[in-house]
Amino acid sequence: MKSSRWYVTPLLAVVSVLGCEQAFQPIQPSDDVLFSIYGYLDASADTQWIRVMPIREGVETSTASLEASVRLEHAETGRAIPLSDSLFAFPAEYVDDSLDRYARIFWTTETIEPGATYQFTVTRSDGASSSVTARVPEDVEEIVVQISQAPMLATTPSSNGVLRLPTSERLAMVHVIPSGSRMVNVNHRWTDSPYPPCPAIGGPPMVYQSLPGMNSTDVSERVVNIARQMFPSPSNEIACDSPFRFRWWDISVVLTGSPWPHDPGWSDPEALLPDAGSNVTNGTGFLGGIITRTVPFETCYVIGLSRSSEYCELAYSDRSATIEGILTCPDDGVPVPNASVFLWEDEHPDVLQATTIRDYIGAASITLRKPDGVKVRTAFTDSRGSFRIRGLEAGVPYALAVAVPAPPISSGIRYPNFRYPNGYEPYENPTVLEEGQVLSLDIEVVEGVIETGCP
Amino acid sequence: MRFALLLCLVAIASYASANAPLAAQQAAVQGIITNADTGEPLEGASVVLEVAGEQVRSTLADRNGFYQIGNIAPGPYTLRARYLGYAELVESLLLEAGEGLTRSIRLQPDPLLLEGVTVRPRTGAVRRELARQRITPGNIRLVPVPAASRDLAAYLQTLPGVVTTGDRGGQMFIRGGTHTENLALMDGLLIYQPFHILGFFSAFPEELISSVDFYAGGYGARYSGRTSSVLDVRMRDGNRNEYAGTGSVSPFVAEAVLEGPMWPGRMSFLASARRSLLEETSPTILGETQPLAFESQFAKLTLFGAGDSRCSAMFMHTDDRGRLDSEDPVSRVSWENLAFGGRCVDALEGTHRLVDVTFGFSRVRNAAVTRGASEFFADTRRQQLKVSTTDLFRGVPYEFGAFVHLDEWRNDVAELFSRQVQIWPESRWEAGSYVETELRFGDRIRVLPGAVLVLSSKVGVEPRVRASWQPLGRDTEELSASLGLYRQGMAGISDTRDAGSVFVAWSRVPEGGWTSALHAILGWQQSLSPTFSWSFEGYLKRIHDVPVPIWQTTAQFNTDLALANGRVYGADLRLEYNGPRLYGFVGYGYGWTQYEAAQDLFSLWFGEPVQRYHPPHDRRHQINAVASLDVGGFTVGTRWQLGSGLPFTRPIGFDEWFDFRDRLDDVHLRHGTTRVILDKPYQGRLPLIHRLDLSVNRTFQLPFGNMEIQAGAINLYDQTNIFFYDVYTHRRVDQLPFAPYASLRLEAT
Repeated sequence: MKSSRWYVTPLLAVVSVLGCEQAFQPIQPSDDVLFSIYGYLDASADTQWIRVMPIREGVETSTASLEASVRLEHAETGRAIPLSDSLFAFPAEYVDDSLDRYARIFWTTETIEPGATYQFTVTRSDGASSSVTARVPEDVEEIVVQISQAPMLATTPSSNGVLRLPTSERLAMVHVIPSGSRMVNVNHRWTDSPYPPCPAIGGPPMVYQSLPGMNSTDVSERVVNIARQMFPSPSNEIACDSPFRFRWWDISVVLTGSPWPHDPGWSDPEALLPDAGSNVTNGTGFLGGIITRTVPFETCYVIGLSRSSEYCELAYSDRSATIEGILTCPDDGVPVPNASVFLWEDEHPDVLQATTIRDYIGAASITLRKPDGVKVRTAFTDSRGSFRIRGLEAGVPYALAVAVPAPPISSGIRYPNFRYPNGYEPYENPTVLEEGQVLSLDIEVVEGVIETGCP
Repeated sequence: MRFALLLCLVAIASYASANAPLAAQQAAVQGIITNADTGEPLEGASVVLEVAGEQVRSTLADRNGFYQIGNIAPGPYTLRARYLGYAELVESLLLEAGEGLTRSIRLQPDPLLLEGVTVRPRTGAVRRELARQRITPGNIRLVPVPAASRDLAAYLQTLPGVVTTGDRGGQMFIRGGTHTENLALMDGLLIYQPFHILGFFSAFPEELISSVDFYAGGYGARYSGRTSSVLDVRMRDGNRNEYAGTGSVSPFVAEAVLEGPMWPGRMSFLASARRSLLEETSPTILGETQPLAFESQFAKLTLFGAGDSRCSAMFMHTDDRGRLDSEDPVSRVSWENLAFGGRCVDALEGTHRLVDVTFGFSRVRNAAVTRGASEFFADTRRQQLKVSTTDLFRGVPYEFGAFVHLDEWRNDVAELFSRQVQIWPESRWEAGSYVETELRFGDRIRVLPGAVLVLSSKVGVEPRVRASWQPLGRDTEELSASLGLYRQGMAGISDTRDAGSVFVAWSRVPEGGWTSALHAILGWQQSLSPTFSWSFEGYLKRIHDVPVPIWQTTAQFNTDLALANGRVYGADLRLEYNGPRLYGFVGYGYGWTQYEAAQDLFSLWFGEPVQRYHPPHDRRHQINAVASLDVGGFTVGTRWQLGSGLPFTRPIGFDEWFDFRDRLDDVHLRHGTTRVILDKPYQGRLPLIHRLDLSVNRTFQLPFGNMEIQAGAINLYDQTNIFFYDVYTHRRVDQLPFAPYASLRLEAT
């Protein structure tokens, strides 16, 4: 009797095992990864933003409190910097998702000190914490830009050069950007342009192009190649009547106090790894210490130099001077856009050589008869007729002339440029600038032998 | 040019072979054995040559019904052809020296021979012949499915070593191989994705199948281009003498089949259409909508020639679409198969050869939208030609063939993250030839050596050998072994990082190479009585250069591939009882699969460039039990399955990522890219699954034919079985719950 029921026990065991719902807990929490911390302390910015979020079990974010204490302190002095706590909402349509998202942002308007080190810590109620140390670089006194003297290609308007930095600080990244724009939100997609399609280029005009900077994490590397390409081309700009016509370009330089841990050569999957570029202990993310410096990417030409290995050097610091102004039509003061402004060192009064300086916007040109070695600067007026030339040396006499392109005619042929003043005489007597001086010149063009386009 | 050269080589080889002399003035006899009514080839029919009542030689017809006996001394013989359920045919032959006599045989079905006998197929789940498992519609009927017409997919899932990730998705993993390493053929035409989105069903319903050769590995030289398994399905021909039709409906699927003569006795047609109904009925029977739908159409025309040669034209179209996660309103997947072509089989009069020519076009289109983020589209097509011949060389049978195919593919993958659309229409051709012969050493040992020569961007040779030994000189005990090298030049790119992704994009194996696999199989099968048999088979595989997706931490389909090497071993144990009223089968499968992959990311991620992991189809233990009982005019069918948990990658948590590679992301203006922080690949295991399906059916005879009524349920005790865990959204998706059904099938003859 007993032997006939030998199967009962194992059968019950199997049934009980199979009958129970098995607990399934896929998340494997780790004490080594508590918080996600992202941001940077920028000594050149007026507000610092630090994003702190707990490592969570689901995709969804919540409005719940962080339930942790957050502290930013000056590492050398131990002084705590008060932070404001804000909950930022990102509506679903904004993040291209089906869920509204939230983020906890801590911010301050306190000044960040160049050369200082800061400690940022997030401590959970049970004492576990994530922390990060950010060192802010020393500021730089002078940035030198050398403009290549290689001739520009007619089909691809561009300008190239090298950027030289003092050797004291580390370089995080360099960008060439339109003046006044931000380095972030770079978008290379043509279809992302908010402007209407342009038949001339087969799509919407690109708002701007920002060339990714050459990242240097090597302290000894102080020379960075830079380049700018202007899109859309002038003809497309005119054809499409783009509201943005970038005449002025900047070089944005980000200096870092610690080696920049983000390798621009990483693929997306590499960059997305939790430890890739992270400097957070017991967490993920990155908090850097930086200074952002912006200098103009201007045109510079030295008569007699033409090889790609030769450069026209421009130095930008508090000591360099600036000439700026507005070009207007006579009588009614209407701004003259697309005009070329020429500025050259006038230490050599003798006319020894004829050199045509020609740039692509408006195809304006001027012919100078000056000896080799004379530095010539050019700029272009924007839609308000404004121009600006920076990086000028104090104590050097400069002469100035402008060339205004004639308006296009129906045949598409442009007349030779109207020049002010007639001939090759400068606008006025050579001007000598002082250190740090900003000279404003408001110039009225004078009607010449060719129609100017002024009413 | 290369194609023309290849055809020339094939022609020369065929000509040379055709004119090879019979050994030493010996004679030979060959032909095709068919069902006299339907023209179906009768695989396994026996042919015996007798002299004065004494058996001198015998053989069995192959899958084409082709039999061949060579090296026969000239003289008078009596030929007997037999097949269970058919009247025996006896014929006198006079074989002359050097003659290759072609004698095709039509056996007449004789229902009287089957009276009082429950005929269960000899080709049970236990029996395998030289790595081949032959599956017939009779086998397929044993496994309950929620439809009146049973399906090959459901039967395959009961076999040890065959792993599915769930009852949806249409993917099948066999002995450690991936679902894109299986070769599925429909009358010789490639079907890329033969299994429907509802896992019970495939493009091969019972109604349309003549027979199936299934190789879980160790297959012969006839098959090439895939490294895991072969599913060679021969669709039946339509009835060439009478019209017939069936129609069936269940809450899951509706089907209609029509067949008949187009030219009585000479030409027949078979047409079928099937459509799923679950999307419409699921709110009633499941209590929730299951957005899963498929449909398929099949047609076949067969022209019967003299000597039972035949030419067929085939067409198949399937269309699957749906959402594997019914609660995800955005993600969806679809795929569409199209295949058409022709096949001719002829035992050439005056020669001692069977020629089999297959040509056609196959295509699959895949599309998917995942998590509202990405849209994928893949279009893959193949044009193929294959010529094979079965022949004798000095009395030794051999099969020789040549093939050429052109693969073309176009994959469009739009990634949200990268803001790129990738389109790369590409093509790849492959040609080759194969030969396989059969050597017999006495009555007990058979050895089938063979090799495949593959020409593509490079040349490869794939040697293979299969052997069997019947130690007691009878087929009730057999030891068998297989060893072979297999290569695959086209890779099915599937994002296996979570099991719920069924989108497949085909492309060449990276770096212009091949995925290769070395199979070694050793098995024993034994019939302990006329009703009870068992078998055991162990296998070992070494896999090289399997394309696997690059790991990353965001939910994106990834077309970047890395190559992995793998080790697979396992064993199957099968027990089968095949009694007059009761059929029972229990199969246990043990499998162990490990990949070793080197990816750049692994160094950054885990500090080591090489990771070893068990891929997501590595089911360690699996038990299947199938039973069918005939009682009181009813047939009760059950299937119970248990599978240990599949590997998955455990997430540590979620956060948002910001990019500081070449810009300064605004952490207060942008939300960032949500990413999952993952543990090492596939370190976790999903819960085990188990389920019981049951059906009861009865057939009634009506004036116009038969009516079958069935009632049943899947997941009878409503077990909550996990289907997949989506690591990127932290969501668990379960398999189907308890679902009752009833079905009706009408058969008009």
